[in-house]
Parts: sequence; structure tokens; C-alpha cells
Amino acid sequence: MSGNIGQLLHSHLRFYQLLGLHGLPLPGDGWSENWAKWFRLFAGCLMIGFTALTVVCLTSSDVFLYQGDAFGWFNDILKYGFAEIAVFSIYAETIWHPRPLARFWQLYATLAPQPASTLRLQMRQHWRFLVTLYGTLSLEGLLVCSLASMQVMSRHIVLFWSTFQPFVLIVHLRNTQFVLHLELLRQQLLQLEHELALLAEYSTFASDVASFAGFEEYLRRRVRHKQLIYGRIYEMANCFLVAFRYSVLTVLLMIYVRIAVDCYFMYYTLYNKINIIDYYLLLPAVLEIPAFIYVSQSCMQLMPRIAHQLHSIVITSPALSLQIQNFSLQLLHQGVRIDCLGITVLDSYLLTRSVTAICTYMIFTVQLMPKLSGTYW
Amino acid sequence: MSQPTPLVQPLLLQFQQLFFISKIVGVLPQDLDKFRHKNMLEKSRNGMFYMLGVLSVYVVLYNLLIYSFGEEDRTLKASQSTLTFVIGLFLTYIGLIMMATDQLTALFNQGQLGELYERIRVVDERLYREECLLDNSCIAKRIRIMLIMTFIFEISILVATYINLVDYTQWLSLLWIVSAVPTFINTLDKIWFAVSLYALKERFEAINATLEDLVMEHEKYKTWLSGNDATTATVGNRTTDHPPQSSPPPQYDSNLEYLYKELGGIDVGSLRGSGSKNRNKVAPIAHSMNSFGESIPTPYKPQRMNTNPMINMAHESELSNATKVEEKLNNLCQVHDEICEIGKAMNGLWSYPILSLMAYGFLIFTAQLYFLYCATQFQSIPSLFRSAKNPFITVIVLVYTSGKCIYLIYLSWKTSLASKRTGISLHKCGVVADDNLLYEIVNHLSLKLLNHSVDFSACGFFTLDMETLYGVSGGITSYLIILIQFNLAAQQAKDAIQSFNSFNDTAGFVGAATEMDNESSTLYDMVTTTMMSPTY
Repeated sequence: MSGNIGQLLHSHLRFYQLLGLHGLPLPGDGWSENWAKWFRLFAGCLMIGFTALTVVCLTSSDVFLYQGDAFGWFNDILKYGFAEIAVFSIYAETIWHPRPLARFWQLYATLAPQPASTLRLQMRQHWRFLVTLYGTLSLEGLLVCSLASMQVMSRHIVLFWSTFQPFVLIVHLRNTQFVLHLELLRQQLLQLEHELALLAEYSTFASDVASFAGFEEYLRRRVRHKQLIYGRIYEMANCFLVAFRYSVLTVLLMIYVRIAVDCYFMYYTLYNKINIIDYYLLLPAVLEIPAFIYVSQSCMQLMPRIAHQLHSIVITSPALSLQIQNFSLQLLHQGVRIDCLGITVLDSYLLTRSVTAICTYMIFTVQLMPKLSGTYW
Repeated sequence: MSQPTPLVQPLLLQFQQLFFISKIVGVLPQDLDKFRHKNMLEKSRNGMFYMLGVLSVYVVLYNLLIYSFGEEDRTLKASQSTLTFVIGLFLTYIGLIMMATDQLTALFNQGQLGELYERIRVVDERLYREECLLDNSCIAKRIRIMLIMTFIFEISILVATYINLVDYTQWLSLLWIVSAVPTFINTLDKIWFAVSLYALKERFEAINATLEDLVMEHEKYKTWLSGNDATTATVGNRTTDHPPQSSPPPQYDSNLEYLYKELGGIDVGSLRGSGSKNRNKVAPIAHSMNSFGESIPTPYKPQRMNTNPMINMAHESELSNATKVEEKLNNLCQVHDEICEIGKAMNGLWSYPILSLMAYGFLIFTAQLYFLYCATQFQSIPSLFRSAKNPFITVIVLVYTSGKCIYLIYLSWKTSLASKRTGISLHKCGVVADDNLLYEIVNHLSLKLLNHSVDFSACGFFTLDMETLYGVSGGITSYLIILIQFNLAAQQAKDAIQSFNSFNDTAGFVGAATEMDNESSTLYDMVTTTMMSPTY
């Protein structure tokens, strides 16, 4: 018995829980003060472990960091620094902010009380999440293996990747966790849109062919019901934003910094004909941001659709009109907007901007390169 | 009615310490006695003269500081890169400009500031009449924390720099203390803004909380009502609010138990009521009869009474009485409007100081990082920015400066969000009550709220919300990289010239070369001093 969220979600949440990313007990676990205490201790140990790893890497005299020039060395420090901030914020949220997440799952359970009956149906329901998770994970594994087999290992490469890869893994898994939550949100919004479309169709049909006494009232009650559902979906979106308030920002920032820095290194190694091919490991990181942004964008794109469907309901009575106006105003007031700490909306425009920014910085740093390596004169 | 015995404590009561300090260091000109006795900010001519005097003393001292520490700069001029020199020159006065903006704006606004707090007091009274209670005591605590933080930052920067980086054998080095004055005065002024903004945010939140309470109360009322309808004995039991056809199966409760426990503080009963029902059981009867409008509340009330003949007043909801609640909602929205207006007025009063603070923050952040880079490359930097020589002091300076800017931006954003949340709470009221008259009121007020939101901006140049941070941080990184590139290029050119010169020296005739070199160096000195002195 896997509770009421379905086998598939249950097993994946358990996976996140074991890595300390999901700070709630699963259905059937039973909740107790002790459980919460032990879980916090576990997540705290992971957090301390990662922090200690960063400190060791940054202060050790061994070749954890790039030694070729000062700029490369500084870039490696940046990578470790942002990775540490990201991992710290992730575990801090698990330890100290479990409540918004609990509310999220509670709302999800009320909105979707019955999971799809078979595993196959569940897989079809959550395929976007599964593709994101397993796609990036397997790509990551493949690349690490190929690096291990093809690259002539130097001490720096072994030390760097063996310490940096765990950070990358945690951060990327957190990103897929965002994708999971937003995907659930998107499903709810899609269903609401679908129901409203049905309602609109029905009202068109009833207005010119068949109607029954009290039909307007029935329609009005349905609209109100949808309004209540929308209120809860909105709260779910809000809970998502509060639960992952800082980690959305830090995870994106870490991936972004890593891409910017590794693009530089890629050019640098090609330019100086150094025989290191570890820049291929950048590929999963490049895929993570679009995966996240795509889901959040598709959530937000459903908002105008919902409003459209709402207004295509054929109005037959003033009371219904009033109700629809009310819903429409509600949509205006509480639009689902997914952003990280209000700093930027997570839509495709952000993708454009970050690509532009990375290109600009690449040009800057490429210009800087000959001056740093001392071959300019 | 409120004159003899004030209904509410004035907000300014919490500002006692802050006002006292501000008055002494010359941030605000208002009258100290009046403030102490009546908690009012009133214009004061003496205060104005005192403030102008203080301002001119600061300006004189600051110039003296620049002059006396500029001595070092002059000797270093030749070795410095021109870029560093120009940036230093450009940023020398920005702290002073910021301070002067703050003080002069405070002088010009001295009458309006008092009016602003008077308006807030009136708002408080109106909120009090709507049974919307506010707790101002945390504001005094906030002020104290901010003051302590300011002192800690200022003093740690000052002392650390003085001990590590200033030659304190000379008595003139004591002038270094003046370097902390502009930022200190600026921070005090911004504490006024921040705390007042926080107070506005609290008022918005109080309105939202009142509306949410109405919703909660009504849900409890409906739960109780449906419990009565179904004639179940256990009214308080949370399973009773499910109509028989409700979708969640009964086992769902035990499955979600773990989440309820995690959510501990939240009232389970109220959460369940928030719409798990598919339809309202009472309202349809009231509405299906008459869908044309305005006369609904009249049959509505007796209908309620009929279904519950033995109603006891323990469970009463204001939302079930549309005419009564109309007045309340109207009043709350009017107060909301008034708070928005106060917010706009407040933003207007502080618009120039905030603009200058943001400009200062941006420039100083970039410059400090750039000078830190210069210091790590063992280049000399302008003497006023000597704190950049030490990475730890730099970190403190950066945290202090950016903390000030980001906190203001964050608070403005939060206030704006809180004001927008009122619309959401209002709609909750409407949907939960499910009453035609109430829908009309809510739609009307909701449009009003949509058209009347408060957004903070710095003189209209940019809005004070978190999106600005994105642009600013991008700008700082880009400029920093460009500056470092220029610096590298200049450094390499200088190295090249030096190696060229040394090559000439060794190749030339030794006797003549020494003479020539002396001459050329004096010539070089003369040229640089004549070139540089007009700009200085």
C-alpha cells in the first residue's frame, strides 16, 4: 500500500528523502517527533559533510583547484563557492522549512485524491518528470564513465571531479525535484482548464438546444466550485515558491556560474591545446536550466488559457455573469507567477537573457585570456 | 471623539531613541521638545539652523580629510594607473553628495514628514474601529536592532581600518573618523524610511488578516451549520464537514495524518472546510429562486434563521450578513487606499535620498571590488579607499553597503506584495460567502484595488523591487570585468615601457645616460604635475 499519492511518486519521493532533499515522511511511515529529529540530524550531517568538503578543497595545498593561472584558479573557487551555497541552502530548507512543503502535498492530496490506478498510467501521467530525471541522470553517468575511460588522469582531474561531482549531483537532483513539483502544479492547472472547457462547451450546447430548470444556477455553482479549486491551486504554487524560496535561486545561480566558467575553460583548453576533455561534463548542466524553465513556463502559459475558457462560457443569467466576472477578477489578482525570490520570472525570456549574458562574458574572458597567460608580447 | 483619549498609540512613540540620535547628529530638524511631549514632528527654525551648521561642519571636515590624506595620493600619482586615479577622484565626493542629499531633503520635507505620521495615526484609528488591531511594539525592537547593527558595522569598519591601514602616529590621522560620518548619517535616515515602510506593510497585513479571519469564521459557521443540517451530534468533529457525496474517501484522512502533524499549528478543521465540499448546501436554495439581484439579502437572512431556529451566537459569521459586511469591506478598502496613498507620499519624500543611495551602492560596490583587485596586484589605490587593501574589511564594507540597499529593495517589494494580497483575500471572502450582493461588492472593490496598487520607485528611474537586483548585479559584474581588463592592459603597457627604458639605459652611454636620465625624470615630474594639478 503506497498511500494516496501513487506508487511512482511514492518511490521517487523516497529517493529524494534518502538524499535529504525531501524533508517529510511519506504516507504509511507514521509521523513522530523522533522521526523528524532523526531526519533533521541526517540532513544536518549531510550539510556539514558538504561544507567540510568545500573547506578542505578551498584550503588544502593539494591540487584541488586549477593551478595554471590565477584567473583559472579564481574560477574554480567560484565554482566551489556557488556549489556550496546551493547545497547549503537546499539542506537548510529541508531542515528548517518543512511546513510549506507539507502544505503543498496536503493540497495536492485534496486536489488529486486518487492516483492513477496502474503503474503504466502513472508513468504516462508523469512522463515529463521521468524523462527529465532519468535523462539527465543517465547522461551524467555516461559522461562520467566516458571521461574515466578516455581521459589520461592527472591528480588535479581526479581530485577535482571526485569532490565536485557530488555537489553537481545534489544540485541537479534538486532541479529535477523542482520539475516534479511544477509538473504536478501544471497537471492541476491543465485539468482545471480542461474542466472549464467542458463547462463552456456544455453551456453552448444547453443554451440553444436543451436546458432545464435551474440550469443557470447549476452552471453558476460549477463555476464557483472551479473558483475554489483555483484558489487552492494558487496556494499550491505559493507553497512551492515559499518551500523552495532560496534553493531555486541558488541552484540556478550555481548552474549558471558553472556554465559560464566551464565555457571559458573549454575555450582555454582548446586554445592552449591542453589534453583535457572534462568540459563535456557541462552538457547535463546545460540541459537542466531549460528543463526547469520549460515546465514553469508551461505552467504560466496555462493562465491565459484558463481565462479564455472561462469567458467562453455562454452567459444566460446575471448571477452567472457576476460569478464569471468575479472569477475573472480573481485570476487577474492571483495569477500564477513562478519566480525566484521575485528577482526574475522563470520563463523563456530568462533563458534568452542568460544565453546573452554568457556569450558576453565569454567575449570578455576570451579577450582576457592572452593577457593572463602571458603570451601577448 | 479621539482627541481627549486617543484610541491608539501613535506610531511615533516607538521612534523615541531614533529621533533623539537623529536630532543630535543632524539628520532631522524637527523640534525635540514637542516630540517628547506630544509625539509629533513639528517644524523648528532652530533645528534648521542647527542642521545647516552641522552640515557645513561635516563638509569642511570632510574636505580637510580629503586634503590631508590626498598628500599620499600626490606622491603615488606617478605610479598609479590613470584609470584608478580617475575612478578615485570621481568617487571621492559621492559619500558627501549622498549625505548632503539626505540632509537637505530632510530640511525641505520637515513639515510634510509630520503630516505623514499624522495620517498614519488616523489610519490606525480607523483600523481600530474596524477591530483590526496592530501591535507597534515590535517596531521599537526593530529600530533598536537596526541601530545596533549600524553601530557594529560602522565601528568595526572604522576601527579595523584605523588600526590596520592608517598611520596613527600623526594626530591628523584622527580625521579618519570623519570618513564614517556620511554613511552613518545616511543609514540613520534610511532607518526612518525602512521602519515607516515596515509599519505600512504591517497595516496592509492587518487588513489581509482581518479579511482572512472573516473567511475562517464563515467556514466554521458553515461547518457548524451543515453539522446541524445533517443532525449529527458531533458538531466539532472535523469529518462532519464532508457532504455525503464529497470526493475524498474516508481512508484519506488517516493517510494524510502525517502531513497534518507536520503542519502542527494550523487548525485542521478550518483547513478542511476551505472548499473540499463540492457545493454549498445552503446557498443554492436562496439563489435559485431569484437571480435578478439586489433584493437578495432580505430573504437571505430570515432564511438562515429559519434553518437554525436554535442558533446560539457562538457561531456567527459576519459574511452571512451582506449589508453589514458591505460597510466593513468598503471601509477596509478605503483604509487600504489611504495606506497606498501614504506609501506613495512616503516614497515621494525619500525619492532623492533613495536614488542617491542606490547610485552610491552601485558605484561603491564596483569600486571597492576593483580596488580590492588592484590591491591584490600590489598597485596603489586612492587613500580614501584604503579599506580595500584588506579583504576582510572589504567584505564588511560590501555587506554593509549592499545590505542597506537590498533591505530597502526587499522591504519595498514585500510591502507592494502585501498591498496586492488584499485583493486575493477579498476574493476569498466573496467566494466563501457565495452571495450575489456580496459578489457585486467584491467585484467593485476588486477593480478598485487593481487600479490602486502601490509600487515604490527611485524618482521613477527604476522600481524598487527584486527585479532591479538582477539588473544591478549584472551591471556590477560586467563593469568589473571591463575595469579589470583596462587595468591589465594599462599594466602591461607600463611594463613594456619600463622594459623598453631599461633596455635603452643599458645600451646607452653610461656617463651621459645618468645625466640625461636625471634631466628627463625631472622633466617627467614637471609634466605630470602640471597635467594632473588642474584636475585635482
